[in-house]
Amino acid sequence: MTKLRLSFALSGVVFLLVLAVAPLKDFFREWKWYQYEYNDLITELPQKVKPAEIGIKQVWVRGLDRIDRCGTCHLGLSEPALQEARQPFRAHPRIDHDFEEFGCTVCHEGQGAATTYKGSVGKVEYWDKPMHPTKFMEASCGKCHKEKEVLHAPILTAGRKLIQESNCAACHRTEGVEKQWTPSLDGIGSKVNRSWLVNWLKNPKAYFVKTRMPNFLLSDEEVNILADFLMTLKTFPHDATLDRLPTVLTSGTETQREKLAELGATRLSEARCISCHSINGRGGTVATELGKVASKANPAWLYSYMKNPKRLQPGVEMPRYRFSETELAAVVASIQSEFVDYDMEEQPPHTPDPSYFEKGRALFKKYNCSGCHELGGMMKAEEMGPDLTSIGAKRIYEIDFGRSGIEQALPSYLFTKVKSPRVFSPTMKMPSYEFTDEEAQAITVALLGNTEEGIPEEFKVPAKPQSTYAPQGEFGKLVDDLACFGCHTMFGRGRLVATDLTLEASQAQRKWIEKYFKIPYSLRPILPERMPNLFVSDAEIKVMVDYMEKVFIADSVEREVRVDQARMAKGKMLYYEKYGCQACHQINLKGGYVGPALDKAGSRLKPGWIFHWLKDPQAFKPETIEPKNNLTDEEAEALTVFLMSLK
Amino acid sequence: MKKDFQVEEIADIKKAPKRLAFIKNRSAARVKREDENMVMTFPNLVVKEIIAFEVMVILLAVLSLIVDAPLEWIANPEHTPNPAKAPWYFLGLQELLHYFPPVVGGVILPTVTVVALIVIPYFKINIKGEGLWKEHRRETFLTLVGAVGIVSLVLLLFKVYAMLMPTLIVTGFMLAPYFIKREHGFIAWLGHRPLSWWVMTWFVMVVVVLTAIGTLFRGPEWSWTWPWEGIY
Amino acid sequence: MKSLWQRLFASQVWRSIFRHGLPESNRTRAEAVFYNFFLHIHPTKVRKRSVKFTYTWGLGGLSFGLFIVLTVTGALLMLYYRPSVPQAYWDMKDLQYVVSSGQFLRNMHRWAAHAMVAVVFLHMLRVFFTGSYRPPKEFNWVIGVVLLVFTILLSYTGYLLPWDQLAFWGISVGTNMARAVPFGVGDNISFLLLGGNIVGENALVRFYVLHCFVLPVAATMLMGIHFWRVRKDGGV
Repeated sequence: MTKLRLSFALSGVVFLLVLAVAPLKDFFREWKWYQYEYNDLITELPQKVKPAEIGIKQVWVRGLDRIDRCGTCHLGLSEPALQEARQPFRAHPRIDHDFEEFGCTVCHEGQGAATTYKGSVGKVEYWDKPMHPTKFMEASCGKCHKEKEVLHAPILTAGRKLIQESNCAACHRTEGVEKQWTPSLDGIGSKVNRSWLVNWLKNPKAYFVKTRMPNFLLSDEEVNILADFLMTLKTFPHDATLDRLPTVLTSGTETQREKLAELGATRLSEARCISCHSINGRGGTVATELGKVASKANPAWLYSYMKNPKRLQPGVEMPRYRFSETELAAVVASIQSEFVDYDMEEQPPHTPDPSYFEKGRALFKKYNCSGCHELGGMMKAEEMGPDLTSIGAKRIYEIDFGRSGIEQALPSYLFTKVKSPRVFSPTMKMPSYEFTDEEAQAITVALLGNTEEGIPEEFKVPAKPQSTYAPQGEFGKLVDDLACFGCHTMFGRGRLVATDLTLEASQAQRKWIEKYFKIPYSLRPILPERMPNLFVSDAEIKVMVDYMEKVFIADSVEREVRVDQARMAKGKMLYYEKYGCQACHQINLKGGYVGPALDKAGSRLKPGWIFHWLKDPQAFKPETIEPKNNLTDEEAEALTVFLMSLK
Repeated sequence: MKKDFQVEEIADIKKAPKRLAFIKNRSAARVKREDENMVMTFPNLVVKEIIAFEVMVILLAVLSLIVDAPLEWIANPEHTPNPAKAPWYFLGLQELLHYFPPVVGGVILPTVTVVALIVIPYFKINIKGEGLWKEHRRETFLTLVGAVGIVSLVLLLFKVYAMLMPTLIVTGFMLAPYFIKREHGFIAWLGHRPLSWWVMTWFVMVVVVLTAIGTLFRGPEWSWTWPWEGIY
Repeated sequence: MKSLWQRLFASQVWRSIFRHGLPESNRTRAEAVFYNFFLHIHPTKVRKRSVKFTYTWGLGGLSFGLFIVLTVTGALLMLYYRPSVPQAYWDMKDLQYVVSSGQFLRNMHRWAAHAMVAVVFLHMLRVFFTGSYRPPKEFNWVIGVVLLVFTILLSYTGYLLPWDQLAFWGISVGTNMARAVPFGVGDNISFLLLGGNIVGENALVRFYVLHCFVLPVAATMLMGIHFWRVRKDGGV
């Protein structure tokens, strides 16, 4: 009996104790300690800061249907006095979004509903969206901002640019990314030699470091079969044929050819190939490597191509230089003597696989070569890889991490996939782009931003619609023939290697433009890209400048500026003293290199342009680094007078 | 025919009133011992009940303080986890579905089980509960071997080794007293077990084995996975 | 001091609630059981043998104890739970992170539910192996089997309510089993249970109503009968 009583008493006491532990555990929740700690912290500050009321704090973002309780511990978010404070109390850096209005997790991710460190910031099992590591933070900007260039998000912008340039769209569906032009493979068998092709397929970067062609990590057998298959493609698009080489090239004497090569070298340097092409690793990256091109393409192809690039390679952005027959032969001769790869590995003779054509075709299909390269009607480009439009919303449990052993999170998955595409499974087909860590990071950021999950329409900032500008008539033909869009932008279309020409006639004087076509020079000494001499005729120049004066002009940029001595002196003073323009611009070889030289600005620019530009440079070029100095009209006019005097 | 009532007689009439009990022959409520010791319900039983309840709540509460109930990702009809598992008490059933066609594994077998459980008390053989080997030893042996043989054959046909093993083990024990005749000890005890006892033991073993396999040894695609390779 | 207590116990108010005195004599002890609503399912005297823990292992009583724990925690959980998609899931998160002792309540409910399935099954085994299904208790055995089925159904319907992957696919797998019933009956059963062809918000509401009202009420009534019959058939 006493035993029964004793156990009854004991179990009763333990019962009550255990039941009391639960509410006690609840009472000492960790966020309370943070709040006490915060209230202690602020008493040590010189400024007066309002102490926190003890209790859970939450932001309910109605528009995004989110409840974030981060503020329960992050108590100093909008307290300027706590900019240097330790976490979790540090003030949030100033951003353009009011985080009281947007909440926290829409950008940072993590579990906003949680009120514990482990549950919110830490890695939570069964929570798809852990906090973005700082280096991938800009991904969240991409969720709403779908523009190509996102202000204050340089990594995201770089990533989107890389995705576009690497032509990911060839295999993956991605929104807002256009497919890039790549050479057609029609006629490749009449263009290149097999040894080069084999080496190229093995590792494209060995030939051209900056090539956009990735390494498909093919086996030697695959390379041989594919090369044999490609070498059978002898016909050019639209049944174009190669021109016959001038006799001087085929049967000229040694001296004749040497002389010719000399002329060719001069023309080549005037043509400034290096603005677009890389030559032995130096120069532009828009077009392919030329330093070893004589070991790649045969002279007949080079000759025909230079004569009319678009005939053999429709759509290519190579200008048709106005070379004479002799000059063309000279250029080819020069290329043949200069641009040779003496180290190229000659392929031993080999017997092709009996069914190389079918096998090669199958490989061509397997690796989706037609995603990038056109092959006249034989195969249509098809999308092969996974859709990337909402890759940022991929759940952890949807990812096959294979045996990679990396951190089980989407950012690390994407980063690893981009860096070494086949690490998760050897059967994967994605080629290796050999991205650097920074590039892979930027691409990961852009991909992580590829989601619209939980983002209502009214939050989205759509991409700007693509420009539909297409010049017609004589000018249009010239723009196409000279591949102007390859470097210049007009009304939102084209590359920005060189100046935006949309307001060219408002900016520059007719005479200067005409002269510039004849002898282009570099306005900005620091830029490697320069306007090539296209050897255009006077008649062609007239057509272009006439068109420019009609179209590339805006009345709002006109302004008459009265010239007098007082203004002149004031302008000079403003230039050299008040605003110190010489820090970036040169006059008479004195001054900085950042901006264009201003010698002869008076013979080049129109006064209205100078005036309006000085008033608000970013209105014309949002990305320019020219500071906006908030000049008065009077100051701007004085500077205009001074600059216009530099003839 | 025995008389169907008994009179309980206790020497000290002050301690217990004289009781007359009508007991039908088939009833379980027989008074086996005349001098049954009685105790007061309060506190002897009530306090024990309370202690049992308290201990149970203590165990539950301690478990709840230490181990959190699982909560996975929010439901996503688009993504089936691999494997998709039912709650543990249905995993034996799910394991059956792996072997048998859905109608058999998902409908017939569970229905048969529930019906079989319900009808247990309505069969005389179960009520009597006489030892399996009490009489007609040879016939019993042949019937048993035949029945087990058929069941084993079916199980072998469907490759249900998970059920075959417990079946053979139970059969082994069941047949042991037929070959080894003992008066005392474990074998003798086995010999006195009735048929229903054997069937239930077999059923429990099968349920436990199937549930354990379904819970601990099944991974993606319902393939055999050792617990140390991850419990799914 | 002692007299104060004695006066309290002797007062009319006390007597109107407890009709007997302190259980100090066998008479009052008997009355404590006899006059008590909760204890009257017990006889006033029991055989000493049956008080021994190993006589029943207390499994039936523990099943009922678990049922009480589940009712109490379940009622509290209902206060914070909305059976809608996806709020059900967010309510789980709120229980975990905001509601006072919410996680504890949920843990208790979950573990007690698992325990109850196991304990009821063990109770059935105990009853079988002690032969306690023999007449006149054969129908009580049937009720017991039905109660086991109800316990499993209660656990199963509750399994869906957190609306996580575990819940969704657990229920999907289960209802797909029901679809195997031939002649289209299975599809109808599944449709009736889910209020649709797949597990969705309708299914959630149905399971919620079954879990919180229909099944517990039905189980309670069956339990009443079960206990009553145990007592009438001479059990404790």
